[in-house]
Amino acid sequence: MNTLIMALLVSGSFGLNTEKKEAGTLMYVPPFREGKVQTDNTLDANQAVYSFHFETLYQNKETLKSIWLKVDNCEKVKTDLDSLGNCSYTMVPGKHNFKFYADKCQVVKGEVNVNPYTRNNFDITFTDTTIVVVVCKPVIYLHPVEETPVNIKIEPKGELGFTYPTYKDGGWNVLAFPNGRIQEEGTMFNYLFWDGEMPAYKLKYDQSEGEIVSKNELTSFFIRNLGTLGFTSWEMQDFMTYWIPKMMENEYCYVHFLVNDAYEQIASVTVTPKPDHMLRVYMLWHPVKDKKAVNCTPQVFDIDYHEGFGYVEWGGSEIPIENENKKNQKPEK
Amino acid sequence: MKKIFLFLFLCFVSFPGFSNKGEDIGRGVTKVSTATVTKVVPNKTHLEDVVLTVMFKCPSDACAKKGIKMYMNKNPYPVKLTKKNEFVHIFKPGRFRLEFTGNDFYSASTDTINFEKGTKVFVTVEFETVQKNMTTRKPVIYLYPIETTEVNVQLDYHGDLEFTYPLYTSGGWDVKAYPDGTLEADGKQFNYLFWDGKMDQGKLQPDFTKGWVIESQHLTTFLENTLEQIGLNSKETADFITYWVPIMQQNEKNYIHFLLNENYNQVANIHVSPEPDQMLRVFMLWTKAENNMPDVLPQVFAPFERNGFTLIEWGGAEYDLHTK
Repeated sequence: MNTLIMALLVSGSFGLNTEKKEAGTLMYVPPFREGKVQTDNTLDANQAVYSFHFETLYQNKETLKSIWLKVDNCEKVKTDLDSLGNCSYTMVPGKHNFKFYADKCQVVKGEVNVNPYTRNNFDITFTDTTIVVVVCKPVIYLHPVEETPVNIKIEPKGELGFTYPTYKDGGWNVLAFPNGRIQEEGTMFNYLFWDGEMPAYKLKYDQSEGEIVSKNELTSFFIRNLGTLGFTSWEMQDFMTYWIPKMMENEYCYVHFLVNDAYEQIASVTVTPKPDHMLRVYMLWHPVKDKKAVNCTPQVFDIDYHEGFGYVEWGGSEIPIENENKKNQKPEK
Repeated sequence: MKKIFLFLFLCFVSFPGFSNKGEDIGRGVTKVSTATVTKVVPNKTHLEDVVLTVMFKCPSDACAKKGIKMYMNKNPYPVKLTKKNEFVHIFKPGRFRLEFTGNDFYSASTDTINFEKGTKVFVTVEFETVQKNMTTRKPVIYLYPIETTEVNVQLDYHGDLEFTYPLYTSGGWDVKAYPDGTLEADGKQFNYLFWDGKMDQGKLQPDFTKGWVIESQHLTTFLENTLEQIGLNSKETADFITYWVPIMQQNEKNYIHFLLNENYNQVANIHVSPEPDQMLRVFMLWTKAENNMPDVLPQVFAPFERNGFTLIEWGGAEYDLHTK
């Protein structure tokens, strides 16, 4: 039987497992989640019920009216959803690949293995791909042991915006001095600057790691953390004088650092000659209403310091936060 | 017939000028609230009374919940707005001066008007929001002594300091400055002294006939050239450009005006000991340029040469220019 879809049932109550999330927090929800499985002996041996609940994050919060579904490698089928964003199929059990599509949203993929005589619930969260995160002020410092010509190529995961000195096709070609000065085409700089934009849904991090910092503690928080990471005092000064005035407008901020490998989701960088020590720190932050708004533990950084040619880069983004009264309409059984 | 009658009426009532600036805030470019008599017509239904209709216009159409009040010769009358933001008041004839107030608005008033019996008088009140504070962003101070020098820097900012780094204390900043520009405070090294804050932009008196309107794609080149002319070096210029260009290029075109040296004192005075031989202080005011901005003449700067102990400072603010 090639056609898997035998019947389309529309029903209202699925009793999905909803993980209660903290109000006012972000962000990363796995787009495809398996929920409750119930046995139903009224079904045939070649039948299982697949129930889907769809929702969207961010601005596009209104309930979806329809989605496109691709099962295994069959054709895309358009399906109308009920008023709560649900739809349900009876199909053959077994292993299936799903792909879900909605307007302006990321494609969500899911792989399942379903037993006969079961009713299976799935939660699908679409993320609006049109929401961008502004990648603010990455700056790059170079600390060579001796005067060294250096080539730096950056590959942002989104769009490259403003650069200074101007980024050219082959990257930045500069002469780096041991005191940190950088010469490009005869002009002296302290750092290389770039910024850009990227789709918000591409940012992934563990929200349970991080810290909530009150506005009066920002300075000491950064001195402690950036110091641990290995910033020099003047790099710290650039970082702090850039971010603190923006963050200080809020009583409390949630702060998470993407360090080195985690920074790759913002941008990759290729430096020639290869630095002996690379430190890349990207800060994600957003305002929160109080000290307990996000349940999180401080991040621990394990940085091995290597002598020699050092490379330091920092940047950051204020990230869009989910609306506090999101997801109030979900059917709770 | 009717037209002539109306005309006569207007002449009769229209001394000595109906429109008056609400509050003297003394700056040519800033908008103020106004109250203007727009129409006076005879009224056959209330022959002994004056029927006053006031129409309110508020920024972004937000007249509700603004606690709008009308005063007639200083006596307050609560204003109940209709859906069309109108208010009707019937009173006995006499000479009255009308004043209108609202939360966050400049007040508006008319001159004393002789209200005749049997007339309908229409007044339009256009409210303007009181100027918000201006954020003085990222002033940074660089010090370049000839030899390593202990320097004390005190700021006299005409607003409230918000964030400083290194920390500004009541006695000012005490730093050890090195000839290459490195500053040492609390055992740490810095490239500059940082401060920011908020102040009333009304304290600034820029000559807005001078400056530039710059399209965003030319912003970097413009700033490079102009800041070099003013006297910043490439590293200072890079700090300036990487701070401002990403913010400013969100506008297609910006109007830019620099306050230099003694004009910078409108923002903050600075006291440095020992006294530098040369000081260059550059404050940039900018605002989104509209298409109908009047022509501006480029500013001209005296050449600046670095001789001896030099202090460089730059900062800036987005200026709230009410262009129509």
